[in-house]
Amino acid sequence: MAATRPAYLVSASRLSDGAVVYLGADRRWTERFEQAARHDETAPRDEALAFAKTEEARVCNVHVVEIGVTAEGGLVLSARERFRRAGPARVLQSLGYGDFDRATGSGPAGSE
Amino acid sequence: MYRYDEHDRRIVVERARQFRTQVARRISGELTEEEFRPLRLQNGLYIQLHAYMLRIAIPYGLLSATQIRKLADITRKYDRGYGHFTTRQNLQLNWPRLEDVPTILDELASVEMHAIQTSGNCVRNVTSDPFAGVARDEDVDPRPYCEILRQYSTFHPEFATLPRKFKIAVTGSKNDRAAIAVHDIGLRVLKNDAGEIGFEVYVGGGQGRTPMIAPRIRAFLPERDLLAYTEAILRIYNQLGRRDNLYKARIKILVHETGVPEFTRLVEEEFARIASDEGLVLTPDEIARVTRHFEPASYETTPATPTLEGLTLGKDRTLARFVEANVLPHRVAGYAIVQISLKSERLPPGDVTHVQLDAVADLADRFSFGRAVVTHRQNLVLTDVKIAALAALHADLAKHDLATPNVGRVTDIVACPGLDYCDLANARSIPVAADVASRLRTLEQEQDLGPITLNISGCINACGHHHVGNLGILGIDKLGEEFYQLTLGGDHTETAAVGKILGRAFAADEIAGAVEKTVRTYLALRTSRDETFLAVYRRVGPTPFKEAVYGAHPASSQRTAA
Amino acid sequence: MALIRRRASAPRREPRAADFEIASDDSWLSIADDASVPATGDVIVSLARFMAESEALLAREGRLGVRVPNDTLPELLAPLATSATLIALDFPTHRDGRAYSLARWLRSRFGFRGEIRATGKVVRDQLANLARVGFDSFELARGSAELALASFDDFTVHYQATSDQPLPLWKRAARA
Ligand code: SF4
Repeated sequence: MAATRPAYLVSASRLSDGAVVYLGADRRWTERFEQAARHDETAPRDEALAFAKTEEARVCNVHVVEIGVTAEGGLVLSARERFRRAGPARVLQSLGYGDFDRATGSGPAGSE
Repeated sequence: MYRYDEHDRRIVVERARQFRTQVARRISGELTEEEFRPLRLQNGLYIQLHAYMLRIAIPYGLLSATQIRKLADITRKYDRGYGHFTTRQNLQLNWPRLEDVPTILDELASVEMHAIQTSGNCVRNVTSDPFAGVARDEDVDPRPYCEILRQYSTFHPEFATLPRKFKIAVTGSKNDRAAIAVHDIGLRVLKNDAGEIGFEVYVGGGQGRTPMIAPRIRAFLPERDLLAYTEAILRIYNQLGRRDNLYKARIKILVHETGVPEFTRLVEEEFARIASDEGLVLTPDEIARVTRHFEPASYETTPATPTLEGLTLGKDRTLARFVEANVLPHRVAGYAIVQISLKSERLPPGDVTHVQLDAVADLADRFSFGRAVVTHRQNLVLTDVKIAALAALHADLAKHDLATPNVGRVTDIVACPGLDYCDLANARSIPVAADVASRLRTLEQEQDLGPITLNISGCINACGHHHVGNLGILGIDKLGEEFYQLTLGGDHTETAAVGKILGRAFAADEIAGAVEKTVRTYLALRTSRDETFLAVYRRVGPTPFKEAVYGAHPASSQRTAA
Repeated sequence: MALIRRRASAPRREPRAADFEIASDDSWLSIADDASVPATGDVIVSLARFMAESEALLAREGRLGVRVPNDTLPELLAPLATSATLIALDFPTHRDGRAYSLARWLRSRFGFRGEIRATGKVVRDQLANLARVGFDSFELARGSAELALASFDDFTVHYQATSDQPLPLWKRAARA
């Protein structure tokens, strides 16, 4: 594994459905990892975290995610963060529910 | 099965109503998340990796066809059309929305179900033998006692905030199918020489980070004392269990650190004080009242043919294989116990779609007095099927991918949700189960591998019960990558044992190969088809398996991570 | 912080909102260990102080209450049961349930008939459980006292026998 330096994102679960969200630079929550505000220093990170904790009307499970940044600027994510980033679509696809039709139960998983 | 009366019904209705106001208070901002969290957890509502998860209680695994249909309907209306049966005989919904959960609880209440105490540091769903009431080797039906304990522990005001969660399992047979040795309290109900009913009491078993086999602290507890003794154990634990360290908070640590004799003395002392409390002594009338709910179905005398033996030898080889693997003899002549494997090629272990649930409900109605049972190996059981109807049932099961003939075999893999769903996971469990199954399916079909249990957990919390699988796989994290430890020799039955780690952990693309080598080593070492994997392992120990899996020089393996 | 307590006239039975009130006239004064005990009036002192100065404390005018840490060995409760009028059991967090068992012991094992008060991090959603194991008064850490009072009516049926109800449901009600 290449040497990395740490960087930080603030993440949470959306109150309504528990979906993964990240705090953006505009202090809005986004589902898109790419739009997450990335902090190299701990002071702005802690400031963002403090703000996030006032956002209980929208989110819960607020926490900091540490990622690695390589010298070339590439990102190194833990397995957990890779899966969080990839979201429900990856889970459903890889576990056989990709083209599962919930209304009829048809598709590979529930076919007759 | 147990039918609610107006009191039971009122409790679940009031619970759903209470949670509706709690959710509303959270959304309005009156409750902080810190305050709301324990409340949602007490209703089985977790935050997982991508969504909320709702854990629905299935007391001792028993379901009516009506309840199964309701579950199908709930997954359709409020989730993505499928659910997941757990090793604790519960059902989990993976994608509910917060605002729908009170309505889901209302729907559950309408069929005498709930999500009460499926999480939190309280007494959890009481689990039992899936063959309770129909097993040939049963001494006493454990379900009435499970129900008595369910009611006793539901909203017990003193034990809502124990040091940690608390799990009780009850079996009524010498052959333990409820894994009582790895529960906080394990009970075996039996009759003594005088014909009186009582319990062997085991306390302080568990899995997780520190797996322990429970010591027996009472050889015979008369049935009237069940609640007083349980209360004594809970009170001592509530008072003395550790609260300074989450990982040492289970009762097994208290029993271990206090020592079995001293712990037993404390419990017996408290028990002596409360044993004659009118509030706790079980009366024959109450036991009889609850037992009536579990009275045997009205079996018909059916013709002696076909027999199970006959079917396994019959021309229909698909049916024969199904009967051999999934069907067991019943207490009543002419009937059989049919296990439905939820370990097909298509779906993750323990998963069912709403279509399958509806099908199981219909088949339960047609073939098994409208009942089905969830097992702690994440399968379903139709307990009362006429042998004469097996062929018809099998054909219908097959239409819904529910006839996989592998129960108790190596592809009948138990797996927790792992890193695909679970917020605590280190590694994925489900894809490993799929990899292992696809590698071993052919081998299993060609060679009779006999009974082998294989269990996978995505982290040390051990929800997949890997410690007590003959083969256990544990997901660990190495520098942000998924790795897997292999343990051998675990056993969840009356000869319970905790498996031992074989050696260094494997990368995700190595683990299935290691399992295959382990199984092939067993094949080479067994003296006959009757010598099971566990018997061979107990005879030869880990060395031949180590050599097969790691080669002669395990330390030089290239894929060893730091 | 609001104090909710059982009405003086209320029978000891399974909790109902009507049996409780928001207190505006609490006579009890909690005395820190390094403060002196006033000569008169109702005071609550720590268990350690009670054990060290019990004679003087019992001789003074005014009623005596004792604050009991929740990890106190039950044996130490015995002398309190006969000499204290109020026992305050502390909740360092609302997830720490040790005081529930202490309250049960105080009522059933030691026959304490005085007031048991819940102090510390006490929240609305635990009040009914507290009342059922034998608490009479509750220092609510936060939130609306009116709503907290209403929570006693969340459940109208209870399975177990507890401090306020000697019989389990199946001995009280005809059940099918
Ligand atoms: S064992 Fe770990 S990963 Fe698996 S379900 Fe339990 S907590 Fe999650």
